[in-house]
Amino acid sequence: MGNYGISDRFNVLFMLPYVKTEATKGTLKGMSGVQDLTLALKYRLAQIKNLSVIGSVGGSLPTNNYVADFLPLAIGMQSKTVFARGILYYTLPHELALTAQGAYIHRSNVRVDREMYFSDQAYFTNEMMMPDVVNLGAKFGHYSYRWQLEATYEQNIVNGDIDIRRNDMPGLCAKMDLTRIGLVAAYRIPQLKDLQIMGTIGQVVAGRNVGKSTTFSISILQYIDLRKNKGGGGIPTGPICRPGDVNHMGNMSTDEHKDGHK
Amino acid sequence: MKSSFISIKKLFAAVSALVVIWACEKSLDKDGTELETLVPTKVDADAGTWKPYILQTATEVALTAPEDVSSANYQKELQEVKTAMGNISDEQRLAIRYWAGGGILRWNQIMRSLVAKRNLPPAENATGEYPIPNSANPNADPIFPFANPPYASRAYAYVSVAQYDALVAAMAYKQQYKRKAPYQVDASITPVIVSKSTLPSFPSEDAVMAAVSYEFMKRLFPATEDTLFLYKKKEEQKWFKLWAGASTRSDIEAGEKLGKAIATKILARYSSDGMRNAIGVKAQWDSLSKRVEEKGEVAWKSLEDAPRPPMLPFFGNVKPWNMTNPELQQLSIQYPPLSYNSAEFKKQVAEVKEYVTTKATRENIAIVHFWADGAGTYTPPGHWNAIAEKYIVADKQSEFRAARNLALLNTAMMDAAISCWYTKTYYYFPRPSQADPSIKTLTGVPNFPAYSSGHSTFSAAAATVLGYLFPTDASKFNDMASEASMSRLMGGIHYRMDCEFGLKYGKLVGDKAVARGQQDGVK
Repeated sequence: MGNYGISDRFNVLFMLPYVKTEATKGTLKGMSGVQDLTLALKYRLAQIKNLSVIGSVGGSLPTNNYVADFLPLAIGMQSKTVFARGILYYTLPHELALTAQGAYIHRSNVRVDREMYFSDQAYFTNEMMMPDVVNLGAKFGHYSYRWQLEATYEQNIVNGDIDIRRNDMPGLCAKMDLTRIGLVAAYRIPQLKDLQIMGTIGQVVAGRNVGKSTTFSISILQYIDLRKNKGGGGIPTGPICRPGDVNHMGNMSTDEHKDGHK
Repeated sequence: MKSSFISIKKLFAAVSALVVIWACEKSLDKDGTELETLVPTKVDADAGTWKPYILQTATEVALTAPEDVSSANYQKELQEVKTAMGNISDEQRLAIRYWAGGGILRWNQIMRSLVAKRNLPPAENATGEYPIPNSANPNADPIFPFANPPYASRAYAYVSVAQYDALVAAMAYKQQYKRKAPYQVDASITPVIVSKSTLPSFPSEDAVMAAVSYEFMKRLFPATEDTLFLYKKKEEQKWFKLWAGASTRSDIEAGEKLGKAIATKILARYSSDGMRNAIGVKAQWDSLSKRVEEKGEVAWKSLEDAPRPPMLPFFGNVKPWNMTNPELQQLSIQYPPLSYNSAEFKKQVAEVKEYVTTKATRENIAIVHFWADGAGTYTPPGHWNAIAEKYIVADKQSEFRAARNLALLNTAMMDAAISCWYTKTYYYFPRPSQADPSIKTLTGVPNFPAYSSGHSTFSAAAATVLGYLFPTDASKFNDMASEASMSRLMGGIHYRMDCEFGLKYGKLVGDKAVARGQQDGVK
């Protein structure tokens, strides 16, 4: 994934994951491959004292004809999506900050390899209806240039009321609701040219049609300054979706700073 | 600078609005049940002379003659038709549109839906045992039935046979009594949506179909929710031609009476065809492995986390349609599998491994999933009914011909299930993942022995019958059957020998149904 900062208030994000699945039990074969390309634009609409109001729109497209109708071992859903997200970011003293966000994700229907399926009823078509998703979240944490430590809360609500029936294969259109809490820790390593290493842990604490799973992730992030006129005394002004970085500079909302990007 | 920020804000608003608009437009354009109003190319007025399956003669079940159209009672009925047509509701109009697509195909769709709904294996209980669904207590967990492929093949066959026999009887009485339809008696009546059939309207073939289908299907799907759904469908089909101006009350009441009486005749065979002994008990299951092991072969084992008894291991003893049990048994063991210990067999295991690793292409996976028809679907026999539906629709076949053709197809597939299950239990051969646990499959491993392939047997039997009924596409049906067969090797759940011999067995079974079709009086 990548994040390109066009200005202090405007970012372009993209993501293209490679996914591999494997079953720990049973005889079913796991799958792997490149999944969906996500593109998003993120823009700070307003700055009211310590509150940043941020909007994001984007979408995703499957990059190839991977198998979707093989949950839970499929690598993705084959759905095209468009989404709109609103983010409120509020900075507190001691480099603490609070984030609240909400998104609406529209998902296109999906064509599968078979010509009938049962979800809430039998359908004699290869087209599966994909309900839209509402995603809500909140974060609280400490953000400095060197460190990021946060606690996260996430709520995923899928429209409709299609449940996976007992002993059935999970359908793509199921109401896979979940509540997940998690922790994020990130550190920029001075010895490695400030390469950021990030670890996350998430736990599904409640849900419908999803397992009570625990997820871990480790990622690395390298900041590349592409500006001709590099400012900030060698310390990069981070992308605005990580306002903690910018806050470290202490001049995010000043006019001089904006002018510097003309 | 300022102005460019504003335009980006506007862009945001526009995109967000678009998201909301798209969100409201979510639906499926088609759910696959769409049927045009049926106007048959051939009315099949001679259907009363066709050979029924269970009835000795078409008029074995007596039906009292109707009153003449000049009678006061009939005139009252005509008035009722006109009043109903004048007060037609939107809901009734929808029902007319639905059933005008053809009752036989509609009941077939309903049945495929219910099979898919109830095709879920019971979950194990706390002690790791699998409770058996109980038809006497259908609403309890696990809900009755578990509509697996043998169960489904039997359901499709009996309902098709019952509908066919009932329609043969209906036509015999239509021709015997020759009572005109309301629009033939009273020129002021123009039917709504439905076509003006030239056939006599007593008894109503729709009421016959409604009654016979409902009486049978409520036994096949006795859970309260399913029975209520079926009852609603029955009532709709029973009355829609009165709302549409094409049948009168006495046409309908006679039809329902006839359909019900014929269902009773066919239920007698249904309740004594050996299905009740198809599951068996633990001692019997154990003896199956012992018999194979004594021959020096390796016996099938369940690969589920909590080992499950094989699915309906004694279904092979159920009474077939187009041959006797001894004939079927002889037919079903004539090609033995390779010996588990042979070098050729090891080669076949290696081939399966190859299909789920280096040969697991996207195209092959699509074939595996297209034909899988596993849990939560209408099963392979249901898939072949869906294929047949397209041809019946394209030919605009009358209800009578559609019923006969589906009866041929579905008796062939039930015989295929009986034959294949006889083979499976007889040889009790392990699945590839048992022979080589490193074989990870692209579809679920069915919980019954491998040899021979059920999909191959069903598909070859179906393709043989459909090739007889629609000869111009015979080679297409065979290609589909071969693909369905190969899909099981590609999926990693069958050896090549299961597929190839399954096709051979299926062809033999299909031929028996064709032999019947050549002698049932249908031209």
